[in-house]
Amino acid sequence: MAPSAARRKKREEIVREHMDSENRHEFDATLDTFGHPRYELIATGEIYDGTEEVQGYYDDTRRAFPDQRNELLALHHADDAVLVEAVVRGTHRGPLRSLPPTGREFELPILAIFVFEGDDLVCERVYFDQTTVLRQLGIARDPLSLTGRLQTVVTHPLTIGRGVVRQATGR
Amino acid sequence: MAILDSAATRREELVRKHVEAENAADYETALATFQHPRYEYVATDEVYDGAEEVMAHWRELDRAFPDQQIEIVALHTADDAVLMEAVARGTHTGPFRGLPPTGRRFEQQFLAIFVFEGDALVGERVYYDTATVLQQLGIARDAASLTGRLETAATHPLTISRGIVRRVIGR
Repeated sequence: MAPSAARRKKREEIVREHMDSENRHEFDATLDTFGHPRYELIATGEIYDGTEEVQGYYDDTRRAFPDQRNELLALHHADDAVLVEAVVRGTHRGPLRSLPPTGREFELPILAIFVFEGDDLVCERVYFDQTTVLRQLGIARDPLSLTGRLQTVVTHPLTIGRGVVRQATGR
Repeated sequence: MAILDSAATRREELVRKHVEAENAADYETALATFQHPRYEYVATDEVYDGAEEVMAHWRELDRAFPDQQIEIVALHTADDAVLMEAVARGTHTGPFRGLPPTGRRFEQQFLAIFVFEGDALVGERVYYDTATVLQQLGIARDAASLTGRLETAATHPLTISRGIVRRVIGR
């Protein structure tokens, strides 16, 4: 069953306030947009569930990228979710896990699924590409570029060596 | 304006038919599900437009990962698109863009936006994490793991040492 126009409007307001409050760095307001706070990051397998974990996630990412902001590109209403295409931008000015700040900027297209139960936001599930970020921070190369391929041979000699043998012997 | 349930059902059936044809390596049938064949990969900025480019793209993937299968996890039907969460699995038994076959398996969750104009499928836009696949094929390491960190320091010494200096002097 498709959601009613009123329900769509309500959900869209919640999603826009969620994203706007992140841009204003008012993370208490962001947290308040959730009926139940939860993030799922598909690329890394990370899950942050409940107020404390989600708050910790905001603290970590904003320490690493204090100017992080999002721009909404498209919004799709489905039966039990609002799906958002957006671009996230930021500068790496603080430690990211164990990586020291590189001072570099990144720009990352993401797809975020805001999962609803009725009018309650209960999860944000995010699809994105880690390599896009790491490459712009200068800590990864495109493995299919020439320098990337040379680096792969140097740092993964067994995998590549086995592959070359397999290709040559046809097994 | 929300789409009618009958139109939503027709679109979902077309998406399922598209995925089933890909799983059967029946690319003529998969191609016929498009009114205009087009792929966009957000992670890598790749675009394949028109029958010839899309068919060549499928053939390239089929050669590298001949056993690839896609399992639908969820379909989210919106006004102008069906958004699919799915898991792709495959074994790297053929060459792929200069990389010899590694013989390794990958499993990765991704999101595909099937773009519709009325009942006509006019494009598929894919969000996925290249790092997940490359790590599983053994040609990249998790940047946050110990070996990944050592590798980053070894292959990007300038970026990392600048970062350490920046952290020490607090700028």
